[in-house]
Amino acid sequence: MNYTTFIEGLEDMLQISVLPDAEKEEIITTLSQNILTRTNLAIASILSEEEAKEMNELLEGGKLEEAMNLLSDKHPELDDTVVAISKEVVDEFLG
Amino acid sequence: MSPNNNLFNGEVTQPIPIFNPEKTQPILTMENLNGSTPEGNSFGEWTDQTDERFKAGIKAGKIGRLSATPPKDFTLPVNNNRTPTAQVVTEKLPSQASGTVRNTLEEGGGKEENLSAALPEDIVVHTNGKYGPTTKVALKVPPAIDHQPSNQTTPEIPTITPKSPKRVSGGVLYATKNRLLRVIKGVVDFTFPGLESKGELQLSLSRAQEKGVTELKYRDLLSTLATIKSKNSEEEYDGFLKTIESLHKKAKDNTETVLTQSSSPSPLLQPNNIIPTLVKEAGKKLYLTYSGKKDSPLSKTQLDALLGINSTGLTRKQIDDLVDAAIKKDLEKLRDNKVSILTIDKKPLEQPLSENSQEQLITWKERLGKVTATTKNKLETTLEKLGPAGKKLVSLLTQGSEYLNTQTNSKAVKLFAAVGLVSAGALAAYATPVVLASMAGVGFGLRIVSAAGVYTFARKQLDKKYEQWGREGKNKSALSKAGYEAGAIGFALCGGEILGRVFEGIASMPITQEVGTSIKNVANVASITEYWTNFWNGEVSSSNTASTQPEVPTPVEAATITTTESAAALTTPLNPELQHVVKKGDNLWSLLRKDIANMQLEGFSDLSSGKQERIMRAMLDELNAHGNIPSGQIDKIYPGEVIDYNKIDFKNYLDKYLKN
Repeated sequence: MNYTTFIEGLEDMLQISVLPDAEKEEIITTLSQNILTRTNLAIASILSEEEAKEMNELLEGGKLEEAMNLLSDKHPELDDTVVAISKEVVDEFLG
Repeated sequence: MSPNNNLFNGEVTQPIPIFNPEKTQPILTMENLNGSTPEGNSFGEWTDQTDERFKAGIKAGKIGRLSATPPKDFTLPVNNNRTPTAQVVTEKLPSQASGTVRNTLEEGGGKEENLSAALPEDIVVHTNGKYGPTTKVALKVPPAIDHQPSNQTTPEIPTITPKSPKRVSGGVLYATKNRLLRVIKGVVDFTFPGLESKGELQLSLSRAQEKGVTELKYRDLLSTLATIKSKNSEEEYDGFLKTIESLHKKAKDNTETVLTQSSSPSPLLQPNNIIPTLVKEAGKKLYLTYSGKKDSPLSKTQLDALLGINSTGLTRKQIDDLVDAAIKKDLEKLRDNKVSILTIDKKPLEQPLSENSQEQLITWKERLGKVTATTKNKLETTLEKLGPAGKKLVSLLTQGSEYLNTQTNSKAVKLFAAVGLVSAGALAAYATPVVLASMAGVGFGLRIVSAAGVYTFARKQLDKKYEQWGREGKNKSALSKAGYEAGAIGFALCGGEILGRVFEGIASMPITQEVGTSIKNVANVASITEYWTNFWNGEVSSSNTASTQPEVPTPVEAATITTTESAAALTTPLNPELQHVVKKGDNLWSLLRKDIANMQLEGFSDLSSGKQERIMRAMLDELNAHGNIPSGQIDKIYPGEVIDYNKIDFKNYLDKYLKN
């Protein structure tokens, strides 16, 4: 599957194939912003207050890899959560 | 609806079986389908009447009458076995009455609301209690979903007469290549009773085979098929089908290999999870499509199993049936829409919107607004529950997300990153195993967090750099240049790398050149930290990062900036005007000529056009020699690429030429 095929499939899935490119882009980018926001909330929600504090310190200190490790070690389910959220947003959009 | 329809009385009754009038056995049972007030007082009754109209036409089941003095609000508990496509019908509400059925019943009544989206759950009816004696509220139940058609068979692939052309409106989902090819076979079966234009077909197929099955483009092939819609011999038709079958087999083998060999830690990639996920999604659609319809290819047991109702698991045969049925649904959609794949248009932007498109546009905007409103609501609700550290984390993460959205003007990059996020769920539910496998090891969640991390880290480092450069008197454009590259790096880390894995070969696509460049550069370093270390030590070429226009706040007062050049990171003041994001129609020669003209190089315009061209070629060769032309060829640039003529010492070239 290449990029064009995939994008076309995505447009089909979202049922926006007939819309102009500008509208398609607006829809896709807006949906992604919703996904990002919800994911951020999910991340903050699954962390304990202590873990959140630790994450903040790592992020603010620029210790990115340590922050990543903290999440992946303690909350490996995060990836599936993001997938679920993106599907949730798409489903809402499709009504 | 006649006055005799659907009467709902004020007495409590026993569970009532819903009968298919044509059969004598119950096909649905609606247990405890009585009404109750919020206080728990029962008031309703389902009588044993059958609506004559339904019996004759729609073949629906039971009806009931609302008492003359109903409570203000009541609830109809819905048994899980009931079809989700029940309708609540009201009729002849007196003028003084008002009420809502799931907020849809308007004053005056008489309106049917299809609750097809309402999966088994209670139906709440709100009224103002002012019903008159002729008021009727009824639950209209569509006919059985559990029929086994006795006099008809469901063809595995339908035979459909070609209809007049119309544009595809979307919604055709294809889960696997295996399925894709079966779709193609089906399309051929019903759309092309004979084949023509063998040359085009062969071209398409050979192209597909040449690139491998994974490169097979559904739409391309369909378009080709549409051009050979008639006048082919039976022999050619058979030959085509054999070719399709061959591709089908290859795809199937390929799919199974991927499933078997996948070593991804993600449970989504495990064979035992992919199929049920696909099946469940397809099944849900199928259930909603076929429930209550005669041509359902699956039994009620199978459909129930798909929804997790009384699930006993699915056999391989059932899964295959399901996939075939989903294909059939897609094909029917094509047929119902009178679609001709001939008219699929890949560039709708260039055409005026049809009336239908305008309507869709409005619908999508409304839906988009609802999604955003829901997100906002979630945000408010979640923040209330979080402690101080959690709130701060949300803030940091949001800043990271916003940074990605706002700190670049590159539409390609934005869209590229967005597509990856939006498709994450789609991939999980619908995408091919090959694509899922290609995502192995990619951490969606971590990518988002890393974006926030890059943001916070970048800003911290930028602040330090600004302070340093301010002291050293760096000029403003240099600061901005560094700043927006920081944003570009964030994008590359968050969007480019992850999506680059999904879309192999993406660098060859014009829209992704910019991102592809970022991917390549990021991929050459071992870690985020290393990249940043290199960047801040001046070891990353400024032209190597994808970027567009910066909007980085400058903490240094403009008045304090001088042109002193002492920092190791930037030894030459960069002229943003000499940077170009390639647009459609651009070429290196025209861009360079424009830049040279703007610089007003003394002596250049006096040269003959041949001499000017030789100098320009030398400049471009020099640019290319240092890897600053992504394609490696001075005659090939693509929209989205960044060309930076800061790498050329124009004056030096001109001086050399004039001296020689």
